[in-house]
Amino acid sequence: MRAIENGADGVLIAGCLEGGCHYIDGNLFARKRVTATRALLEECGIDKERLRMVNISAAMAKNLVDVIFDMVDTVKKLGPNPIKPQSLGFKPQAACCNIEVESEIEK
Amino acid sequence: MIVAQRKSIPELQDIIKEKKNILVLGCGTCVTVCLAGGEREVSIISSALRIASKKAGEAIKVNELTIERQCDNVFIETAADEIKKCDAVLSLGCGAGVQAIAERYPDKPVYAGLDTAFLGILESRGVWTEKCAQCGACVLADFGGICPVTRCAKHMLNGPCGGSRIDRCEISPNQPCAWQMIYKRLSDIGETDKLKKIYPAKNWSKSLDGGSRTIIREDHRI
Repeated sequence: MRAIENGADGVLIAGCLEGGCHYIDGNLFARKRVTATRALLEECGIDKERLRMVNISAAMAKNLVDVIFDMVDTVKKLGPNPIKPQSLGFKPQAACCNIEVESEIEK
Repeated sequence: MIVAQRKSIPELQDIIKEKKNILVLGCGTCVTVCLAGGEREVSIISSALRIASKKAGEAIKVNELTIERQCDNVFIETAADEIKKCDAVLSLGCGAGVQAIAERYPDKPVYAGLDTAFLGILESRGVWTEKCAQCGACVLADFGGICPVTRCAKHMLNGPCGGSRIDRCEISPNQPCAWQMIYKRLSDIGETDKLKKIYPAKNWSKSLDGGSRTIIREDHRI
């Protein structure tokens, strides 16, 4: 919520594979909370696709890249976060892990 | 404990419309335990309101505060500064908390952000069930600690009704028959004789009949 409130165009949350979490069921709780938060965003008038969760392991680099690009495509289609100050421009970012998406998105 | 649920964001937007400076006030007691109006929920709902209002093109300021207990003047006092600064209070307390704040600050609009639902218990994680209808004349001693007023769909004091199937109520397969539970419980504790008594019609004058109720304990008054 804070990331969207602060202007993030999309938020991608990556959890461990189900059954493979160090915290046993932390990723399962996270998924439920992400589902609830997506519904809450819809109540606020924000497209729920701006928030997404994936379950992925440390050995699945290609899958992670695919998921990130899919998220970027989704966010590009949705356009900028409607509550973001215009001055910040449209620069899709992965909100929680500071991964800046390639500059071609900005073009 | 008192169990409540938050209102939807569009409902809340409608409630606080035209107010520019809102204090979302949480309560650290029952509604914290039922995950409806504690510090965490205050933070989430405040954030949602800021997002929704920006989306709607309105600029409102939403402050957040949670006090220990909204139904007690001693604790309400700790929110005095924040309450004075805002245009309106959106209370995430139960109905009693909202009214306590409104009585303490007669010139300040105080709105309910939750729907107070019932008096119940945490059944399992994320599941709360109603156990007490606060009828004012408790019959639990006669029914093995299971309340037919609350848990029987027909509120029968001389049950069962005949509509149950095995141990389920006829209104829903998910609803256990309270009278089946009462019979089993009284059997387990050797008190089935209590069921031979025909219960007279319940005296509802101790419930909401005649307006809101007051309890006065002279031994505690100052």
